[in-house]
Amino acid sequence: MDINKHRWLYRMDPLTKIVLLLCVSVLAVHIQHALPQAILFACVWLAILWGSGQVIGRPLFKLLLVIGIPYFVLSLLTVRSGTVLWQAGALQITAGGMDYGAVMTLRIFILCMTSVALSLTTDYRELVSALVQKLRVPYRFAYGLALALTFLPLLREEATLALAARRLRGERRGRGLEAIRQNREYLGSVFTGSIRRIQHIAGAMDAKGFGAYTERTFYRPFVLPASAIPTMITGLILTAIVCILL
Amino acid sequence: MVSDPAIVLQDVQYRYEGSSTAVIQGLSLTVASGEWVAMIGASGSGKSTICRLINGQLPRLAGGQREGTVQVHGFDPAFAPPGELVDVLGTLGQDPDAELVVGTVEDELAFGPENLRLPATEIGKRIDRLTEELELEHVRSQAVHRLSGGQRQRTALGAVLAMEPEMLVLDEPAASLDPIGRKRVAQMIQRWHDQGKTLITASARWDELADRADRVSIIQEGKVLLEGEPATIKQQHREQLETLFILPSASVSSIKRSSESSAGEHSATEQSVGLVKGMTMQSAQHSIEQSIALPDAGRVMAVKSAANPTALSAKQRTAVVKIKQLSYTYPGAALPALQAIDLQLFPGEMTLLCGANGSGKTTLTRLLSGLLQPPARTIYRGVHDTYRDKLDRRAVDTAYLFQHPDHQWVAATVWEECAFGLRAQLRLRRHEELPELHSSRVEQMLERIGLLEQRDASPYSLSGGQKRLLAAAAQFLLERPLYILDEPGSAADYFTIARLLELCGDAIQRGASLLVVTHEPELFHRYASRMCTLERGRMSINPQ
Repeated sequence: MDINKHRWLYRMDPLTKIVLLLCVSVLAVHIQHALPQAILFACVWLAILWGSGQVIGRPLFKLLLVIGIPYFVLSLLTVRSGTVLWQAGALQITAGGMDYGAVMTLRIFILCMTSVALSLTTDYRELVSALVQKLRVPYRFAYGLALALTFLPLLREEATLALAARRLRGERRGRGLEAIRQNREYLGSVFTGSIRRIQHIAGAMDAKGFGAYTERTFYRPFVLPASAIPTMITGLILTAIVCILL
Repeated sequence: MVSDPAIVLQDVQYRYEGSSTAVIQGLSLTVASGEWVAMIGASGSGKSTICRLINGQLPRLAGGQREGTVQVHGFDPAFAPPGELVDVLGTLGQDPDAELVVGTVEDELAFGPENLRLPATEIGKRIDRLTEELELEHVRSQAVHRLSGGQRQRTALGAVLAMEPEMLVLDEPAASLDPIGRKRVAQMIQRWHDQGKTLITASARWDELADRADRVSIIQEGKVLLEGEPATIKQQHREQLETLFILPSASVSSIKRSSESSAGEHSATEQSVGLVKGMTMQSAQHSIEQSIALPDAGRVMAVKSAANPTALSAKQRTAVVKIKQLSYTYPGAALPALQAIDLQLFPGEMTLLCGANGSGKTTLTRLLSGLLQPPARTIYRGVHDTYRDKLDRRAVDTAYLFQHPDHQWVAATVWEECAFGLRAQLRLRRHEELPELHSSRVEQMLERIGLLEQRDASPYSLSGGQKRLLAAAAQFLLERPLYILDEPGSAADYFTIARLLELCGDAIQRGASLLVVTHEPELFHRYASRMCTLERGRMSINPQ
């Protein structure tokens, strides 16, 4: 991942990133038609790809498809409005259903992608510093939020390790029911490993006096870059304009 | 020096959540202010539990039932407000990964002092001093998960020392370190203690820290068995300590000491390589002949003759693995982790892989096992280039023992963990039972390593040494041409090491090739044919 660390999404300060994420989320929720939502999705995807390199990898995209496609099909078949495009007995596909299914599916994609990008490209210590030093958020709450954000990379790391341990012991990828059973056991290992890691982190924080006092100091002061405020204002203005236009 | 008690444990009993038997049974131990007590006990004796009772994590975080009195600086750590405890007591557990709070080395060292509300300038001074003393300056800005095991251990120790507590409880603080690193850490802890501060160290074997302590407490089955001044205890109770697997059956510790002192005379550059470079196969062989209560001499001779390269047929001399000009650089790293490595591993022999922390040992084993993808035309199995092989393909001919056994667990119980590989090999479905023949092999193996009674326990609930044995047993049950063991004897008592050596001997007799990563070559030289040393990614080979 280090090769991507010079990219702008990694370098951007966490406060600006949070504001931009909120802007994108507002737009995704506000837009009610498939075409502009698809354009927003394409812009977000390209921006993340450009800004962070390989963050949105194939496994994550697969996961999104597993959720997205069933949701799209369900919406397609249950929402009935506008022109009927296809009918077979009780089953009916309408233009309105198709539009609604596409909007909702793309919305899920956009919200997931931006959250994942924030989680993977943000140094959680920097986020805590920003929240506590600039926004005066209580440090216990800020750490809680930051650790929640680090859970995804932690889960990915545990998943890689758990799969490697199984493959190294000679387990081959199963098919059909066997694959389901393997996945269940594999997810169990990932879950156990992740819980253990979280317990370790909690124990280590406790042993180092985390939460002992109502305040704490910071070795590295958080400095908001000069470009941050103009970027945030630009993002907010653009969001307002798009909301008014659509 | 000895004054008011700093730590008092009186008639303490403790049982873990869900367990019917107490791990600690009527323990009484008093540590005076300014005293250094070294707790020594074989694997499963309860040392780590005692450490966690002192720092209050048991039963506060992990539950369980505690009885009796525990007092640190006059208050009960299980119920003390966190601020009160952290001001006086710093603790370091056995697993450095469990001590780190995800971040860079600098972040880890700053975390405790920040919580203690120290000003940034003071934190900076402490970080500068500790990174220098612990030789972490060059990795100061690196993420801790990218560091070697030894570097992580030094970071974890630095994070505790940065808080400058009045008392320290250190559980195996030097287990993953190379000999030079161990010596430096011992000196550092000594300097800290010389300021009049209280210290408890815990270890599975009698080590340098025990020799330096004011008093040793020998722990067995959760109780203090022996207590006294180190030299006296060692002299008067040697036989008893040997039967407890705390001391080797003869003077391997003196050989280790002489090796370490010779290492101390090396130049700075040589020191980064590790002491093992100066050790010959003959001296190591001599040390092992006198060492642990290990497999009998006849058995060793048989294994050694099987491992003797000259006694092997031409077919047997065909290398199991050939490494040709292997160089490897991690993505984004400025320097290569390995440079132009040439090595062949032959059947029926054990090769030791040594070198300082961060020299590239684990990287090499991960490339060999398939955990990392090697570059093309560098690692061959026969004539087959392995660079495109997936992990399950590698698993057919390679068994890999992780540096930390917890990374290896794939099942919920000790029995299932041990049988997992056999079930995978036989392609058994969940409802299909393991055939009687294989089932009895699992049973025999668990009996051999002393874990049959704990067959239904979770692998996570075992002691450090038991985990190492289970992890090794699960691998050695599978017959593979190549076994890679990453620091299998780290923080293990002599019982664990003896059982590990037996398993290694069996594999060598079967004609397998073993690559053992270790900071303690003297423990494995009994069966070893060669010793390779890595220095900043470059390899030198010391043949027999």
